[in-house]
Amino acid sequence: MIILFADNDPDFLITRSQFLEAAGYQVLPAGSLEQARSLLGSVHLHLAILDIRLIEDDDEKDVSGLTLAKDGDFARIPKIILTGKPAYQYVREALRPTTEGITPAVDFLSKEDPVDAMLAAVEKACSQHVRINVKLALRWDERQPISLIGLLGLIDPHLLAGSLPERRSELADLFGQLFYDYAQVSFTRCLWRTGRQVALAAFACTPEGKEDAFIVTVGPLENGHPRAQLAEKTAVEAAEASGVDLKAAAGLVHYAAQAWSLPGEKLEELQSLAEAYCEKPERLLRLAVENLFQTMLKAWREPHVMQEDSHLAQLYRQRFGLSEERFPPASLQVQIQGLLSEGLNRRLADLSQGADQLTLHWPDGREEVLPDPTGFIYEDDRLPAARALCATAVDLDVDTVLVNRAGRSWPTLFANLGQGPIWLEYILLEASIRFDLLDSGDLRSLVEMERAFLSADYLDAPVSLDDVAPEHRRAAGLIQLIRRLAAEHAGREIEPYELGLFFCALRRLVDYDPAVRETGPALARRLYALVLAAMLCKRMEERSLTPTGDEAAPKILRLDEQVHQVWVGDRQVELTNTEFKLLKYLYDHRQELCKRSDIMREVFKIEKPSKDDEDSLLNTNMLRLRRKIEPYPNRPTYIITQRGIGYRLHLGGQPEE
Amino acid sequence: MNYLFLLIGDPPPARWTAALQAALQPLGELHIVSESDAVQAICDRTYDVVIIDAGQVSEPFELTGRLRQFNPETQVIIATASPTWQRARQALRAGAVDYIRKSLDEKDLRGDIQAVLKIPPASQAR
Repeated sequence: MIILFADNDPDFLITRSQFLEAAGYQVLPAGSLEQARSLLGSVHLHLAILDIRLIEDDDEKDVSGLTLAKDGDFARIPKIILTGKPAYQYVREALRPTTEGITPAVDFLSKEDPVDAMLAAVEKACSQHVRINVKLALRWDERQPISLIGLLGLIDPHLLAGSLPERRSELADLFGQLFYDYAQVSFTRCLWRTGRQVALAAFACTPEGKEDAFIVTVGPLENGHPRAQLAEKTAVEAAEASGVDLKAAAGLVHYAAQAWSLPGEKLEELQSLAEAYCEKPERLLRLAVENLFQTMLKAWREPHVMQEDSHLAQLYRQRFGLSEERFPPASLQVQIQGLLSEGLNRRLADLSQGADQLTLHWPDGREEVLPDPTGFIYEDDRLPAARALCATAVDLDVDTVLVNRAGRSWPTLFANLGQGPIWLEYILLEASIRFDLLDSGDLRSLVEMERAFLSADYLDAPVSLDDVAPEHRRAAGLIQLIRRLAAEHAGREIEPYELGLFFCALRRLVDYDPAVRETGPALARRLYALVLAAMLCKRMEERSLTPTGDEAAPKILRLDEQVHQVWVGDRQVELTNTEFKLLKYLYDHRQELCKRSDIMREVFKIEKPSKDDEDSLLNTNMLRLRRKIEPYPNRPTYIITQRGIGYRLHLGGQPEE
Repeated sequence: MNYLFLLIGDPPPARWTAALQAALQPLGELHIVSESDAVQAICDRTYDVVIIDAGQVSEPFELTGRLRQFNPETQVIIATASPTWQRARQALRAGAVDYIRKSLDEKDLRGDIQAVLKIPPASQAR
């Protein structure tokens, strides 16, 4: 057992630490409050002994050790409070639960208590409050030996060699916590690995000989919160409705793990969708995909929530972790240049970059010009302004969806469960099929496949696969199926779906480092993602310029300031005060280019607006205004954007040439 | 909300009992039983808080343990006229959720009881 002993009296600290070490404990001494706090937050510990006065022994107001014990960040570590000045109020504060449900300490000791009393208290605290089975035997399959060190290498690849023993010990304790009631756990194979999360097939045996099978997911703690918080109600309910039971969860300083079971299923017969794609007939794959979306994921779907103030593009960016701060456009440009150059050197693709465009140079001499996708990523005005419907979504990919021999399937990656656009799960699986299953070496055949899909005007529109290369038809068939299921669930609109696919493709590019030499297949995948993103941009541009239906007969926009009313043709539009003021400003300057800065000053009364001001005021209200007056908000005809400058209002709804 | 409180004492001092009754009156109802009837009382009804008058009970810490054996979620406060840190430690080690001074100030008393009422249930099963 590892014990933190914090006391600012060095003599007492040394003496008592020696007694504890003699009793077989490993002691980490801390001579100050700062040191104690640092160790609590960074080192795997079983127990902490904290002096009340860690700053000044003679200051009766110093209760720094007690305050540290109450810190919720360290609630999971049992503590013993120690003091040379015991008082009844200290005992109450230390041992009484707080209104947050935290009991700061499990015991209270006086420095006058004999050493034996301290050792007895430590032993009692360890046996009652440290729920780690230190005797748990861990076994690894001979055919797929992973080992704790190997596992560390997968979930914490940048770990320094000096930290290995301590982290290895923490990982062993993590399993000791997860499988507290078992005597032995045998890990037979790695089911999947994605990012820094790993899933292992495990068979745990109780002391009585009963065996249980689990899928054990293990990965790093993030943001100081254990992934064991998947024990939160929503994630557990979601998993259980999907047929996956969360049996146990554990979290320590750096790592967290969960043990899931699939009742009634034989773990050894499960394989990933990726493995099934290579080995099983198409009929079974289709069954697995249908089962996943129509049964498993459907079982726990919550009602959709409309995000009124958000652009759909913003929601996708949030979900994929794409931000201008993290991935500035200028850096993306450099990355793309590097990617194209490397692609050309390795004869994977002949692509060149120009002003706002990419050019594909085909071997037969033809050239194909596509928009540069980096010019779209943060420019919401260039992207479809579709309805921002959200729901709880789970990450899906071909490695983490498991399938049995009958075509039943389960999602098993719940780490990123959260709100996202309702098309997200479909898009994620479709993208994974493209980028993780298809051989990206033949870009031309992939482009032909994408052309087939981009010709569709609706999600479930029939797509001819005649021109799709035979080796891609299985994947194309699955994509068609996914889109049909998406249309049944979320509607036939293809624009919000393609927008999501666009961001999904970009996510495959943004971490490219031109200084690192990637393998041929990895590079080919990135080039494929880039070309797909560019093709999607072209399609989005084409859709925005194509007039359909009622747009052929635009209606005049009228504003009556006296009665505070607005009409589009004979349709009266209800606007809020702010929306009315914004429209009135444009109306008063109709046909003129109204600069963003002028609008911020005149309408919102802000002289020097920040980016946040513009986002929260101008962009948000413009989005709401367009939704109310434009027949197709993603193809505006009344309020036209001049990128980077401002807006122009056309009363007749004619776009500017 | 109408809480139900139980005072265990044999017999409890009149002044303090009156103060406790006045303090708890806005919160709910106070029942009073002797030590010998305590276990039966918590078996018959569920009390939000049980207060043991340490001065009127022979073994308050042992009684705390017994009460919690019958109902682990019982919130037990031990009240004493002369608290010491050693007995406070004994009380809380025995499973009491608090160890308070027998104040005659209604506001103090009510504050101590209300603090216990705010503790979430999960943290009480110790």
